[in-house]
Amino acid sequence: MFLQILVTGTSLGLVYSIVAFGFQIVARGSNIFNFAHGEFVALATLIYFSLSATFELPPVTAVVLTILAVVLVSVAVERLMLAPVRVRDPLIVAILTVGIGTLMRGVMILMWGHDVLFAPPLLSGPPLSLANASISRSGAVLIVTCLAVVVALYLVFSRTLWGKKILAAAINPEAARLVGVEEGTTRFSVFLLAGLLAGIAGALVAPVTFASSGSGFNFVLKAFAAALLGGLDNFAGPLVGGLVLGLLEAFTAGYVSSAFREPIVLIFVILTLMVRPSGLLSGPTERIT
Amino acid sequence: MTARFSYPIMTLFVALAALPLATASPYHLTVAGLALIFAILAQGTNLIMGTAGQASFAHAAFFGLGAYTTAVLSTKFDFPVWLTLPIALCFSFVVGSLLAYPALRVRGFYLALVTFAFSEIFTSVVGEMPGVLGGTEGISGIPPFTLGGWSADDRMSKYYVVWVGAVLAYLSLARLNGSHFGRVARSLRDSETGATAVGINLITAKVRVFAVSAVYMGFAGFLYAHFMQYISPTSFGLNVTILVVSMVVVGGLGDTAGVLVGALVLSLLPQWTRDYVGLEPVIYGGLLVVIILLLPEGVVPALRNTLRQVQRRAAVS
Amino acid sequence: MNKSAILSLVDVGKSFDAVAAVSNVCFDLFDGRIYALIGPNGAGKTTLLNIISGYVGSDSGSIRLRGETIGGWTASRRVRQGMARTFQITQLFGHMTALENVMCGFHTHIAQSLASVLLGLPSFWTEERALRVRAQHLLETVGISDYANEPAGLLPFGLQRRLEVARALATQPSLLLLDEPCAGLSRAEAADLGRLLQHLSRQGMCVLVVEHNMPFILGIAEEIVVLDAGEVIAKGRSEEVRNDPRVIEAYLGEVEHGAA
Repeated sequence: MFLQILVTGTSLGLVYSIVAFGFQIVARGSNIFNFAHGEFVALATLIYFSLSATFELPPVTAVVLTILAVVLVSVAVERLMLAPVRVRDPLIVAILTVGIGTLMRGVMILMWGHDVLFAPPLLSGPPLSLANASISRSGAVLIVTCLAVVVALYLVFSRTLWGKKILAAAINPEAARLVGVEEGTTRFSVFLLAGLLAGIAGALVAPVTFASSGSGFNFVLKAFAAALLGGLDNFAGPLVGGLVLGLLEAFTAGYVSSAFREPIVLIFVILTLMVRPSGLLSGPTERIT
Repeated sequence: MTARFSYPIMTLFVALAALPLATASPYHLTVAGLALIFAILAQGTNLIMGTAGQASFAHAAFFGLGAYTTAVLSTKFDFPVWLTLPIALCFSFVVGSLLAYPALRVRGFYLALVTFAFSEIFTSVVGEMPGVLGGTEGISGIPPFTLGGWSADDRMSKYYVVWVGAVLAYLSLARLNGSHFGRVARSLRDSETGATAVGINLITAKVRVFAVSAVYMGFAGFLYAHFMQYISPTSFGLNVTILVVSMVVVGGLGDTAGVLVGALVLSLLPQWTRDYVGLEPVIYGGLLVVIILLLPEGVVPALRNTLRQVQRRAAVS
Repeated sequence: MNKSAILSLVDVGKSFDAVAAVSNVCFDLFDGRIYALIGPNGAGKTTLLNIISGYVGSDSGSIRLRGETIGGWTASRRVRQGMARTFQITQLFGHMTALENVMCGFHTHIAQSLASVLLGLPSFWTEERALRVRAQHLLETVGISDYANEPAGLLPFGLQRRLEVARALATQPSLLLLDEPCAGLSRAEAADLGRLLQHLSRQGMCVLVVEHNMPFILGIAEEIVVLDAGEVIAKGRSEEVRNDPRVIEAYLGEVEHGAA
């Protein structure tokens, strides 16, 4: 049982990590708390479901099209609803993303209803076993892909000029502007990247668990928690935070209580942040006032 | 901003007091009563979110806290209603302080997370505990407002009790805003460095504002429980959170009178969307997006400014 | 260290990553005097001010306020103990009126309890009235009483800076730290400010001004501390300092490299 929980927790944790990366990139790159991020993941699960179950497209095609669709939506949201914003107040922008997320959830409910939908697996065949733990083939694909994505993200941010520009803009917006990095371009780039990550996460999760219009809030809450738990200022933050969160959720569900796993995990996050306000990977911050 | 009250708002309250005389329909009274309850909730939310500028999304949970405290105490433990009120208010104050303290040590993002998490924790805990808290079925048979021998059995009495609550809430908030407490709250939004520079301890100030706002939210919950005489977890979920945020945005962040008006108007929304169930998130979300893009300072303040400009032009000519 | 000094810095140092912003800073400030802190750009003047006022912690050395070590004190606590400051970029409450900004300055001296506010007790109304009167008076002192009911965020830059001084004065400080108060002020306004500071120092307040405006400084400062690359390179009476070769070189170097 322990091993099974470890496997479940790791795959759950990796999904949370990917979603958290998307959330963190927007938060650091454009200083926007994107409440709607979870809805992009939910949208991805639903689009994948429709493409693979309703239109019966082969899995790889469905995944690729899902990712493209979500990227398009993400970029459209950025251009149509975020770029025209006239206020500087981050609270108002955050409320705007709450509105965008709610609007997206409403549209998803209209198009797919409230039901929990099950998509066909990515790879057919019996589940894989290791000792007395097993994982579905789709789950295995999920784990491998997530790890690959994390590595890719690291390379993008440390090796490519584009990635470095985004990091620079996150750390010092004024200096970045002087070097020629425009705020609008940065925001476009981070939303593109966030859409990509949300699309990947959703398309991979749908065949392993389910697709549902109501899952957005949970995704964004977990993404937010994972990003903060790992530390917003640290690249590895979402990875660490996501894994901790996923493992904790799996262990709580397995050994303590499945019904109360959500509140317990959230309370743990709150308590941890009390002790380590800047995240698990940083030291306690300097108190200013 | 002085501690005095606005005449248009007082006129509005007088009109609302006369409502039961103008209509015999119990449906109208219920809608109006709920509108007043949401107005209290929205104004409490406005205090922490608008006036003090803090990203707190816990209002639905405090609303629920007040409602459940009084519902459980009065139905399962037979507490008299005049006693459950101070208990519910104190409990809201204490929980508000406890929640705020860790949440406010560092950044604004953290407060948003903690408050959303608190909302989620509240609804799942209440939903999963069928015993004392009623579970997903909720709690029914909540007694009406009682004081001594008198009990608000009929719809009109219940409406007036809520009306009195709404008036008290508005007057006390207007008074608070015009006092040093209000200035401290506004300093938190405008400049934390400036607040520190006048000797304000940011954490103490934020906890105070948080706790006081929680009292208003819990008060709205208390009124809701005895007005509807039935509560369930669905009344305190994400939809309520979003709706109240819309009320604050429409009314203008920090504008108590504007939020009161905005809340009364938007409270009518659920009555229309009732016919188009499932359209609620689209309408609430769409409304938020449109207003922030077009009138970020709020619909009510924009209307007020237009009205003033019209008056000025009329005075000149 | 002189025990009767109001502010005493001994070997104060602060580094950001590997760069030493300030090091080995020592000086004493006494009541009733006006001091200037000058130096080329990047010398560490604002950092030092931030350290003194508590917005940045020092890595080494000690800071004493009237003999008490205050290194661990939060910034707001230092305000409550009589240390007030203004900022290079004004930190006003933009949505509040000028009058309300100054009224906030009385925070540490206000007695309003929630109960007296909500019940509308006479003590509340009396105190509110008194706060208004005193705030209006402070606005007159800095010459902006005509703008009492204007939102602070809409005031012109020069008026905003004067408003910030008024708000700092409302905290009733015994030590006043000003960060480039003359920026955005006309010659006449700067002269008015100078006279105000001299009036305050005659009443016993200790004033420390960070400034680039040399005529202003030479007009009012009794002693000058010169900072270059984070170190004190000269301190003493104005005449001594302005003829000190190291000071001239520090400023010449700045002129040569085109900085200013």
